[in-house]
Amino acid sequence: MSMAAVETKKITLRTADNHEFEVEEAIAMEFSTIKTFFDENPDASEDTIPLPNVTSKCLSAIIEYCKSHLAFRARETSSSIDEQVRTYDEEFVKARDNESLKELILAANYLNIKALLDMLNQAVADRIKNKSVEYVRRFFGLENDYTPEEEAAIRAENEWAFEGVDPDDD
Amino acid sequence: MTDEQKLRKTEEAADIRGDVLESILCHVPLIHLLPATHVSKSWNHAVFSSLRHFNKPKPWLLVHAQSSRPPYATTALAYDPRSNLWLRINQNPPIEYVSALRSSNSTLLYMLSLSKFSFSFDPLHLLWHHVDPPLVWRTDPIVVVVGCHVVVAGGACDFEDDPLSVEIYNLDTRRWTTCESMPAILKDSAASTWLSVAANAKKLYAMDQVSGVTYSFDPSSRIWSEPFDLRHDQNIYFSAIGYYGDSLIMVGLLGNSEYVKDVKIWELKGESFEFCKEMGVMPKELVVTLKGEQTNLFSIRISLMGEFLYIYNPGEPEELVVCEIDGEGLRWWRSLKNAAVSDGSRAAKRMVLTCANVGLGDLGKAVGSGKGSFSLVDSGNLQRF
Repeated sequence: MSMAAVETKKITLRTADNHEFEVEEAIAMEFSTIKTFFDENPDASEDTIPLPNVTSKCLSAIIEYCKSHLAFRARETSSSIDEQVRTYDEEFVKARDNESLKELILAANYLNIKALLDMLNQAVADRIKNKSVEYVRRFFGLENDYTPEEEAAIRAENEWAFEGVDPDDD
Repeated sequence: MTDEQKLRKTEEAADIRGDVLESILCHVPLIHLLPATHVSKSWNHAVFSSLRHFNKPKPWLLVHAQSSRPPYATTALAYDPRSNLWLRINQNPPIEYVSALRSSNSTLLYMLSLSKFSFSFDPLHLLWHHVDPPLVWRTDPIVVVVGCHVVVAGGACDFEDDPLSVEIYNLDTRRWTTCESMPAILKDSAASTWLSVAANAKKLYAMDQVSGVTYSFDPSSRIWSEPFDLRHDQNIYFSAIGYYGDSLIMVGLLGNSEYVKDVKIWELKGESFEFCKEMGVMPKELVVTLKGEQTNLFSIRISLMGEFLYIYNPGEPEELVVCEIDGEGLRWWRSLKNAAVSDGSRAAKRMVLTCANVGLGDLGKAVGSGKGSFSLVDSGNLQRF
């Protein structure tokens, strides 16, 4: 039996802002959207895949994430590995501002990366959960579509709803 | 792509809505979804859609920890399994606890004094009914709501009164009626200490926890049934029942109190509960959890609501055992630290546990009416799988 050199297959992805990323096949397969595409088009592996909904900033962060998690998974499971994964995830999220988090969620949703999406969703949920209604509106860039009367009634109800509401720190 | 199209794409860039928003919302605890419903009309819709499709509300466990001495200071805590967190429920105005708080089944709390009979069966126990006490003085009756009837049975002192006496309070007519006493065989155990009670909209079932003898009572006809034999395993030394859909669920301790062999759960169906199916066995390490510091396991109490079964040892209330019922049987066995015990105070406390389906509407009503407010209990990592 001959010892063939293992060639790591690379896949090229092109982002919305026209940057091309060459990633190892193993990492590209973490994106369920891409995996499905290749399952249905096995001959397309040489082509560059366009990702019109993902910016280069997002894609580079996502590739980092998938690379790290693949490395974690390759090691034997233990509570210290779990601890390292938790720390990695916390750091990954802590560094991002609210806008980046939202972009990452949309990108992870588009690329269909379940583990990353769950983690990001939890992070955003944590960021908004003990904050005021105004903060949530600002965070998500939302219009208040309630009439002034409806709004007044709502404010009256929510005044003393919670103890320990975190201050809006932005 | 034209410049206009590119611009529209960037504006849409961080627009989170639809399924993406609903997925985020399923990570937000129920109590924090309340303000989220007020953010905008589309968010209001997203919250309810998320609750329906992504992460449904799950039955809460309510723990009332009451000091054994007047003025019977009481802390009300609630566990929300959907988000694995504990909340403190603050009542406005604070509820006056005039005597020992008790419960004989999963949904109702009551207090009995010489002048008043107070009871509550709304999900968060913020609404209390105060009526004249029953004719017969009782210390520890079983009290169950069946349809529009509040059945008060047993618990009487047998020097003067019939210990098996049964009275029914009709919630519609607001009148008390005395009816047929409990079956004589329950004479020594006609109190909530000895009986486990389950109820549906039509009947209540009372089981003597040690002997397993079970009777049903229909408050409309006011008739006690013939006894049921629910224990199909002779090794059960203690059992408790609860209602699940159309079936009775029975949790049994097998062996003896000094040496518990197993804790098993059965589902009982049929007119006379003749169809008995073993649903599962408690993992051994959780039986150890239930025993706590003791080697004996004398008794257990259960709280059953929806698919959630909470099992606890009244003698060792620090940790409970939880599992969930689904089509296949029992899943997600785990232990749960009782936040009411780790609450700091070491004073003697009576614990009363109930279970309720708490929805966003219930929370909204509580907060909107001013009757209740909620604060998170910071209790670290409580749930272990």
